[in-house]
Amino acid sequence: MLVLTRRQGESVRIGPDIRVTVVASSGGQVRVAIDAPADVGIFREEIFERVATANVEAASITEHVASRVGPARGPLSRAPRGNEHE
Amino acid sequence: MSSLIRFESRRVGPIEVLAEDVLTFEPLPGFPNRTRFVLMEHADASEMAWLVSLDDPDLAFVVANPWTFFPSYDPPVSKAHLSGLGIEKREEVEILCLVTLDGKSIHLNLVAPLLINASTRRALQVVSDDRRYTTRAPIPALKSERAEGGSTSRSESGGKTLPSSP
Repeated sequence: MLVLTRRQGESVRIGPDIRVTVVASSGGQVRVAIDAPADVGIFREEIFERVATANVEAASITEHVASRVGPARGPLSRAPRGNEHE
Repeated sequence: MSSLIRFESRRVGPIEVLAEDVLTFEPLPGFPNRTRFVLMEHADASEMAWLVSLDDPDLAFVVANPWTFFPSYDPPVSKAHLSGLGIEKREEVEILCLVTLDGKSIHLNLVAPLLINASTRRALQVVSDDRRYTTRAPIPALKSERAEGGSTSRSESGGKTLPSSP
């Protein structure tokens, strides 16, 4: 892990097209500005963790679900259809 | 040319899929090295499907079309999510949600739907903190079942449910 120190107004580049700038810091809080391509996901760590926790839970109970909904049949080339969304 | 992939999943048993049916996901949060999945039809619940990992024999999810159960669902999907999949119009994306089961109630993760580009077979999971939804939205038909004291009537709202335990 790279650890470095930056002053207010200074930046860090991550690869050629991501820039993280320290905008302000006070009282133990740091405000950062992030420039990145639109398709790069940027989220607070705790939001990522919440999705990760939900995913692990979804995977871990599959056995239980399996006993209720039966075995897999053939592969699907399209996602299952329900009510079409508007 | 499409080759046949055989994989021994411990969750759903041996599977055979065409290479062209394989979905390539951006790694799902919580599963950093699992990118290749295939959708498998459920034998008994056609509105649901298996999402089976081809990288990990112990990994499989159950997924569902969210509109089957939540007709007014408005998924937290941005232009950036779509462009990340090479999609221009929202109608072109296929959307599924992960299913979890807790005792008798079945939940959908409406906060972090899966987006699939059906033509390129690329897919990703939205990471959002959409406050309108939860990672554990109870499937409505099951709530009404409980309210009716365990009746198995499923006429209400047309929402189908998983079969009850034997």
